[in-house]
Amino acid sequence: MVMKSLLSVNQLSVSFKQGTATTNVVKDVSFTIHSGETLALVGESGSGKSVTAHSIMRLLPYPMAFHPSGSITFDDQDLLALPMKEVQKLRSRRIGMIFQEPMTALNPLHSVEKQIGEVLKIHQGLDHAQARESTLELLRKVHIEEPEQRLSAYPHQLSGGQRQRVMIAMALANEPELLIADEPTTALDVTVQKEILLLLREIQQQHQMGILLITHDLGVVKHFADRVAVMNEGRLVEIEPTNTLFNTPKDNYTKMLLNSRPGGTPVALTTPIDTRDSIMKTHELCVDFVRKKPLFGKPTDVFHAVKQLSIDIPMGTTLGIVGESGSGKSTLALAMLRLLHSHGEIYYQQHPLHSYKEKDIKPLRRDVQVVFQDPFASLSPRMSVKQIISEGLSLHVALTPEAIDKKVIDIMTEVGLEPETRHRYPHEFSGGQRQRIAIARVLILDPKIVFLDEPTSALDRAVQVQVIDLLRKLQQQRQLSYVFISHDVQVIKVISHRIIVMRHGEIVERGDTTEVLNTPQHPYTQSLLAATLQE
Amino acid sequence: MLSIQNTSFFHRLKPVNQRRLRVFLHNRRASWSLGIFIVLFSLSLFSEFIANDKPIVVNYDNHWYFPVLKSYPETTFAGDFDTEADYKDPYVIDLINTKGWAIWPPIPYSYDTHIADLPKPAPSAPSGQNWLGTDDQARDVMARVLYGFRVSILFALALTVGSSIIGVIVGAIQGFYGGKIDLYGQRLLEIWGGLPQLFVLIILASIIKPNFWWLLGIMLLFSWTQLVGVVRAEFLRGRNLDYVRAAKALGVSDTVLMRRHILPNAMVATLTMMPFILTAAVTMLTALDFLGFGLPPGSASLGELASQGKSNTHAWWLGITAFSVISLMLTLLVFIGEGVRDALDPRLITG
Repeated sequence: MVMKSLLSVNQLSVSFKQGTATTNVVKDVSFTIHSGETLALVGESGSGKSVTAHSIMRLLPYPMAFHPSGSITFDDQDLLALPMKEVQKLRSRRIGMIFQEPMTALNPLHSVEKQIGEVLKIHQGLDHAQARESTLELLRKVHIEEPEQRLSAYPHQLSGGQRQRVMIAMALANEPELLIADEPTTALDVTVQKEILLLLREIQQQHQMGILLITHDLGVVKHFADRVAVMNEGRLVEIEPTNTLFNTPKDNYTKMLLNSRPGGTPVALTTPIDTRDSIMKTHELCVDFVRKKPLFGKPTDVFHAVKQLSIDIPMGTTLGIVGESGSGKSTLALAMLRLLHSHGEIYYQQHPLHSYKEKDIKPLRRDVQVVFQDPFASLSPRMSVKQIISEGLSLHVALTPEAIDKKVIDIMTEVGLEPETRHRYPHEFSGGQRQRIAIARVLILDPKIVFLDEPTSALDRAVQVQVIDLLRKLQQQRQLSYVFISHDVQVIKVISHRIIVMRHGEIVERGDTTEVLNTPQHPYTQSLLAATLQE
Repeated sequence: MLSIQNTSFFHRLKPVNQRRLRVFLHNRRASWSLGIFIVLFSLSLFSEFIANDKPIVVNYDNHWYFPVLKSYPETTFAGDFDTEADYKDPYVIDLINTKGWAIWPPIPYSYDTHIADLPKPAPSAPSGQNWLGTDDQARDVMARVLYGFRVSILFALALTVGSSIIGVIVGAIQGFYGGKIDLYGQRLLEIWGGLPQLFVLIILASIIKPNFWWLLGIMLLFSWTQLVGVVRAEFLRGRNLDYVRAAKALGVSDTVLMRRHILPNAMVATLTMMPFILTAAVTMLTALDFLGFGLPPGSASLGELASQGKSNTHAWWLGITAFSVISLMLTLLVFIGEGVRDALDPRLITG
């Protein structure tokens, strides 16, 4: 099959200038995309894949960014040499783009109709009535239910999946020949992710559109890309048809990327899980958020984030909590940590935490600890690593500065960090190292139970594996108990002894991990597992 | 000015602050304004040595005397009275000259010296004696400008520091605890902000005799609210940050959380606003002095000079001087403020 080359990127380089220093982010990258083809650009965070894609649309912060070499040819024109006015004409008319986070990519003050209609009016010169008609057409095309009612809806009134559909409708408004999709499904739940990707493929087949799909998710790539380009540290290391790449990867980095998937089994237990005492449990725990409340009197609109949950964590084991966004899994953790107001009973060993005041809880805080999802947000940027790690220690035990320093060094060695780096600041560390710092901050207190709220979701695959290995090693050595929260079934499977599946603040299924994942009983669990794209 | 980048002070700063300092120094308008302002302000801090009706040093009978710093009775110089010597009196000058000598400041008048031997009736035009002329009470305008500049800046600095401290504390408490405290705090601020500041000042001025400190206190009552909104917003955002939650889970107390974890974030917004509060305070004091509700009569004040210019339109040097000095001062402060604002803006693209 002979296909027309739609876009060709030749020897593209991108550099950023900051003060006097220059960093080369993309180095000599070349690839082509044909009409009707999906090329996936894969790589870990910081590999330069987004920067490459943004160069095509000239969306980089010029003049801070510049191109030392290369050209991007689209329809015999060099996009890098075109005047900005011409580029603006091409944007959205012939090259469309969808972004990762649909909430921030849509203007919160504009209705759906205005949002999409604006594109049509600017680029096709339609009047109001025609634009409305075309908008409805587009909404039907992206399979939004009740499109007439949705016209007047604002972004916050739509779900994540609907917002992404609106984004796609916007990008498709002018029937572009090339669509750039920058992590289009990363912010979405797995069940929604599959629907969106199928939709994109359907539209692609109708219009013979070329798609540049930027993602770090190999499952998505395997199912939806025709060819794959692998990027590492700004260079394109390999570009092959999808099957070839997955079956016979040539480059060492590609091999490493393909092989780094969480594996192994949860820590082996010496005594049966049923005979273990519980370290923490809740009884009919509820968390409510008041949405609307008159100045006096009772709230009129209450959102029940967690509904009467009773859970029990046996000592030295991991309880996995799976669920999509909004299912209340993080809220449950925050409530059990007494960082959120809740009703119902929470016990830590024999302590009834629900009836304790903050000052009674304080001595117990060192036993019950938490690690958050985003290692970039969970470390104070203005404190050195040593200050961060030792902060909790100085609250709970009186130690000399030398003793604290020694403890910090020991714990950093234990979690696999260089102790010499303890006087540096968090921004000098990579995502995986930062998550290790967050784990060290918790471990130095010698806790009994640690809540891990999506500790691996913000990390690259290879780093995820390392963090999981570390967590399992620590559990074995210190007899720790974990509550492991994740939306990723593949990750939760390799660390949890028991899991619960949550939806809308309720538990839909619970039991031993292998049992639940191999023979799911509840229809929701079944659909969740079915939507997970196997690599 | 750019040589600061090679000092050890510069290298001890965190990289983010190094970048800020570099951006600020790179902004030539702001760094020059800061330089000029520092020179002028330092000069005015030593006003007593530049414009005074007392000599800086007197050598009399082989003894050293420093009349600027210490008061000596006339009898020290073999005069008649036990009161402090009047060094402008020809009799005292003669006494000193017979047995020694005196070094005078470049401007031999203080801000409140009534010049007795003016060749022309006051207000007199600029001359070699009085560089910027004299005002309608025969006082040297140059000396009054020098002292007036100092009072304005010191007042504005004190007001800015005071209102920042109160504003940050109130904003922090409101933002951190949120809920009812925040709700009632906001309502209270709205009511407080609705009070007419000028009328309260006029009413109070008729009960008490305002001096520097009274005026500062009264203005502080109203100006502390300016920063509350900004700081409150930063704290509302900051209390939900992961690292604040993580610290809370470690058992860190509320005050430490506020001070160590959230305040540094709020400081950028605060520092950005501070230069503009400073200019507002300068303008406010000048306006009050102009209207006659400010510093007590006789004090050196730029507002009072402006009002003299208004009532003596034939003495052009009064109005022009007041206008130039005030506008120069405000321009410098605004330029510095803009430079600080840009330096603290992380999104600013530096070429």
